[in-house]
Amino acid sequence: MKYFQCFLLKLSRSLGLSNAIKITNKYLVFLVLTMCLGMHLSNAQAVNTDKVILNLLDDSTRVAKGKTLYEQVCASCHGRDLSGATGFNLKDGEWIHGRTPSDILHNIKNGFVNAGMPGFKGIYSEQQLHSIVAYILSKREGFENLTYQIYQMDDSSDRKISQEKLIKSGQIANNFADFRLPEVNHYILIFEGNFYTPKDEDSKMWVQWGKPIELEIEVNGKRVERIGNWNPSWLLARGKQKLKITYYSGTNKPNQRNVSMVVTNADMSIKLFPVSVKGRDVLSDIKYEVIATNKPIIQRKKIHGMPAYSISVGMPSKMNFAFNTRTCAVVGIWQGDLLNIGPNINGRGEDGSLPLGEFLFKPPHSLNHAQTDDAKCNYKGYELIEGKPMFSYRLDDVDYQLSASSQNQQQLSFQYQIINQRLPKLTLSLPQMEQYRWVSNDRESNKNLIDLTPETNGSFNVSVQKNN
Amino acid sequence: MIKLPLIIGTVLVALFHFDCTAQQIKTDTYKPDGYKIVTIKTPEDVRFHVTGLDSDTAGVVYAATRFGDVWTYKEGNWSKFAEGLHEPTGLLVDDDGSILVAQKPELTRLADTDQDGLADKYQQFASGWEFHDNYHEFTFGPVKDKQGNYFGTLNLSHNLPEAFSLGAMGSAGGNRGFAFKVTPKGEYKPFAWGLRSPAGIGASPNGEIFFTDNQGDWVPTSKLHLLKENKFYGHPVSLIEIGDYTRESISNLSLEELSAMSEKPVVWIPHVEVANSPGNPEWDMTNGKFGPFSGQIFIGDQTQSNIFRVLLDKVNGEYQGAVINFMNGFQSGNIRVSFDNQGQMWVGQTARGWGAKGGKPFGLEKVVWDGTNPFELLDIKLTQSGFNLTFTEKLDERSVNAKSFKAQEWNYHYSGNYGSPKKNLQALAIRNVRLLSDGKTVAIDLPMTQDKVVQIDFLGIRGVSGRTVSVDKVYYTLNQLLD
Repeated sequence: MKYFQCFLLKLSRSLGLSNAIKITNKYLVFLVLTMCLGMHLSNAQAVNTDKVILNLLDDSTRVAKGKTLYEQVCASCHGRDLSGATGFNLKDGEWIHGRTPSDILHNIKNGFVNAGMPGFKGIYSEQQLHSIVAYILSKREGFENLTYQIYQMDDSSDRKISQEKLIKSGQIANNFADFRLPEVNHYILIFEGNFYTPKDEDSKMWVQWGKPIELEIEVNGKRVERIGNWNPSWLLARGKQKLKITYYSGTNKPNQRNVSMVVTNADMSIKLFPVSVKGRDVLSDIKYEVIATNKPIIQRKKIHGMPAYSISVGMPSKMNFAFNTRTCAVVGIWQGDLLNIGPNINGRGEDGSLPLGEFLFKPPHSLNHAQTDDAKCNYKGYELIEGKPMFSYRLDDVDYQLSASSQNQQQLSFQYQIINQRLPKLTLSLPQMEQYRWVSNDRESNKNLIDLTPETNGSFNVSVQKNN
Repeated sequence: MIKLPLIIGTVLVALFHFDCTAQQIKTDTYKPDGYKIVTIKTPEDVRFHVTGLDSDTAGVVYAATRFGDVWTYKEGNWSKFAEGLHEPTGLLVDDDGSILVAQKPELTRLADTDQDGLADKYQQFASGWEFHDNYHEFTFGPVKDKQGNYFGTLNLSHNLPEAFSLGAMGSAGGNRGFAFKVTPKGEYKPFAWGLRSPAGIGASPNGEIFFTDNQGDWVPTSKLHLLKENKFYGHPVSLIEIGDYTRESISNLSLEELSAMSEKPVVWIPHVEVANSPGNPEWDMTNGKFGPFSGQIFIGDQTQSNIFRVLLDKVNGEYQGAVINFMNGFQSGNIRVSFDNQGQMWVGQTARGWGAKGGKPFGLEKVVWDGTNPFELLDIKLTQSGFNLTFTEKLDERSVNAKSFKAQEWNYHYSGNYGSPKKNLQALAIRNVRLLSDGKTVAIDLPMTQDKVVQIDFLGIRGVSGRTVSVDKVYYTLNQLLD
């Protein structure tokens, strides 16, 4: 089969997709064409399935259904983000058991019993299984049909590409740009293929320690500007695009030539997925999920999107929040798992940990005391009471304690306690949420500010509850 | 750790060598007789980068890890004491048995109030500096002086967009590049500035505070300083918080002006040969339980995976002295050294983000002594005409002659470049070598110039036992000649 795919590639090249390799033997072309037709006829059904599933990619309802099913059925082995765990990564360009929609559908239906994957044929409807495949394909990232060309150059300053300098070309099965392919001293290396990036946000091609590395990036046939110095980056298009990478070996040293290339989010604070083989190494140790199972977990780490000095707390109910020791505010609540701290404990730990869930609210919004501008938050620390943290702080000359409890993912309750003082009234500032509402003393609050009368013992509480 | 892995003389050249392979010296193993390394098994499946290390009076070892835990080690068993901390890089068992740990955002006092072996109180003890969530903004310490004050050091940032930088490292304010003091009541005070990547701080037996700083921009080679209040230690970016300085006025200071303002180190620590990324200075107060080096300073190096000694000298009332390698061949990067009540030297290790010669990513080892008297250089003292070198056993008189010695001197170029090569390097002629009446001390004469590092090799020296030393070079920082 691989042999056959190889022929197909050569054929596609000969038909004008690439002029790197010319097949001059007419008989061979005829043979391949015949084989090709034969395959398509016998797989007419598969081709039809492919079409049906690919069309679903434009149907956001079906993709969303696929997501729900995926998270129930597949996420435990393949990862909530499809990046793989005991099961394979399902969003990169490496498909061990076939890459077409019908291949993927077939594999979900029949499973791989020896590898521990059950078949789902008969358990879910054809329509449901199509939705799952569509969702998986919608999360596709990185190269597809990646090809390379190596041109041998006269010396380190030679920049002129011509056909007679082409010494090697081919397809890369795992779709990761392999900068170690050339075996000559002076070369230009070109990678080309379809390329997938997130549809709903900008992303960038990022090269670690890329200062001395000469690269050109073309997106859909247009050169993209190189930004930055030490770690340069290039803005990519959203979703599917044609990507061409041209690398000039120039005077680079051997270890510099193995380029570490990764796609990041727009401000480069999150490394999304690797593009090159070396980039894969950079990201290989970037997943370390901290999940509360039987008791609350407290983590102080750099967290993406959260201010410094945030302490995150994960409850076994899968409700999580972050308390900030400089503002004495709850700066975020998210539903799901606590954190992937991998990016913050890998290498030098430059990148922030990633919250693993959906935010109810996040910075700049927060749950805090409506206070005078010059009020200084004086954080004292936390104590563990039956495993749960109780934060202590002083604000506007009042000492508070704050703890949280959560029975299920429908609610999270904050208990405040005023120490050694009587306050007739105080005001909390509440951030707006979409799927949850604020409740205090069994009364809902739709306002941004809520006035509370503490109990005689100085306690009061607010909670978030999911809308029915 | 705590430095870019560049050993290149100029930043411009450095740009093209920016990778994570630390430069390492190629030498044989050195190890004094009677000493061995014991590797401690750390808890399974736990990332055990030990960056905070101390033990209590009962000999229980406390280790803080970069992952964010504190573990205790007692009678061969590990037990987790605290967790969820923000990359701690320092730990002190306080006099009341509570644990002070230096997280990036704060100094925290951990207490186990219900005595169940787990910390249940995480109290903020001090947090007077600013942490901007930059990876390089480590907090080192704390250590304690005789009055009960605590001291720590604060790293500069790296690649922080809002920071002021004149080279590699920067400050966005908030006492980055400062040493700080915290009174027993928890009052925070900025104490001194001009620090770069001061990865190790220690208190001497009489309560003086010393710290190391890592080679890089404005630090030509790694060094050990005595910490003094309101002094400037050479890295200019922290001046933005001092007096009327502005970014512009700091940029306009000449090298001569900056150099004149700077404190001199007690010792320069030659790059690669001795250390690239030194950790904390630890005094051997074991009263001989660790061998003949009582009272001396031991420091580990993260890059070279070795331990070296500092031999203090007091000249005209000021500290200066020498460094000499002690032992190498450790499994990972040695960032923390701590003696326990048995006279064993514990060594905390990490190699994450900054490569180490020992190949392991993390770990804990200890050095133990079996009572054998090693044959090594014990001490060196400046004289009017040269140096007295004292060895750990009586010398074979036949080896005490000028041929057994070699000497050279150099200085460093202070600038914003990443480190400095040796400047004005020249050989020195050794004269008048004589054995003093104790039979262990050799006096040598040689031409000396102030503000040079003098390297003395003593390869030819033999002990009466016939042994040669395992380390045959000592590096003396000659800030001053004797008046």
